[in-house]
Amino acid sequence: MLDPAKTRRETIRWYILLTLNNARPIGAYEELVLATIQGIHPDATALELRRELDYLEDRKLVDLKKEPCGRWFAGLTRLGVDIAEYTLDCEPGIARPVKYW
Amino acid sequence: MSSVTIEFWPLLTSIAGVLITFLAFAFAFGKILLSQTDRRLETRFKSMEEIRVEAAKNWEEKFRDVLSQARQEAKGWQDIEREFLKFRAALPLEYVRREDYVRNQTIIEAKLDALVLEIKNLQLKGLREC
Repeated sequence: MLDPAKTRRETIRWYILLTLNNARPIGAYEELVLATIQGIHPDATALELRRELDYLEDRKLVDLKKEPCGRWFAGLTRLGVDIAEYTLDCEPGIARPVKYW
Repeated sequence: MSSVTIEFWPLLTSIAGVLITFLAFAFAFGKILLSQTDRRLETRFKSMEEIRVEAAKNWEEKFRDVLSQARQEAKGWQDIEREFLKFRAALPLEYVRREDYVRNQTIIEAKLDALVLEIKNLQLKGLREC
């Protein structure tokens, strides 16, 4: 049974990882990540992004810095880099495509 | 007892002569003294004037140096400003913003993923139809 909401969540997580991987070694503010996700899912919201960032932080894939002014700054952890580079197997919850190259 | 008699007019004449001689000497001496003082003062003023002229020349040189230095510095700043403006003009032509790069790159990768998925679906559909 196809669950569009689940697919959307998981693809957004993968795109977050991709964005942060491209933003290495500095990392990126959530605005940049949101702009990127909105290039793929135009209706993605800031809240949605924060929820997925939080999830990825719980999975120790992303390092979040919640600045006192309210902005979030994200960077990949070692595990996040390994997932983005297909070095590690990806557990369910992130829609990482199968390596095709 | 013998007495000395001095006549009045010769005495007056000799006293006047002595006095005149003394006054003449005093006048001459005073004149010499004044002229010497005058000469010393003149020398002193002359040397002071020389020192003043020399000092003024030094100051003038210093001011000229400072002014030329300030002018050079201003020119340096102008050059830097011009270089910076050139750099600013060249910036968008030669560089991509990091944000733009990250966004474009990720979107391209996402599109590639989607394309691969589409091809796989087509392949599966083709296999099913065969």
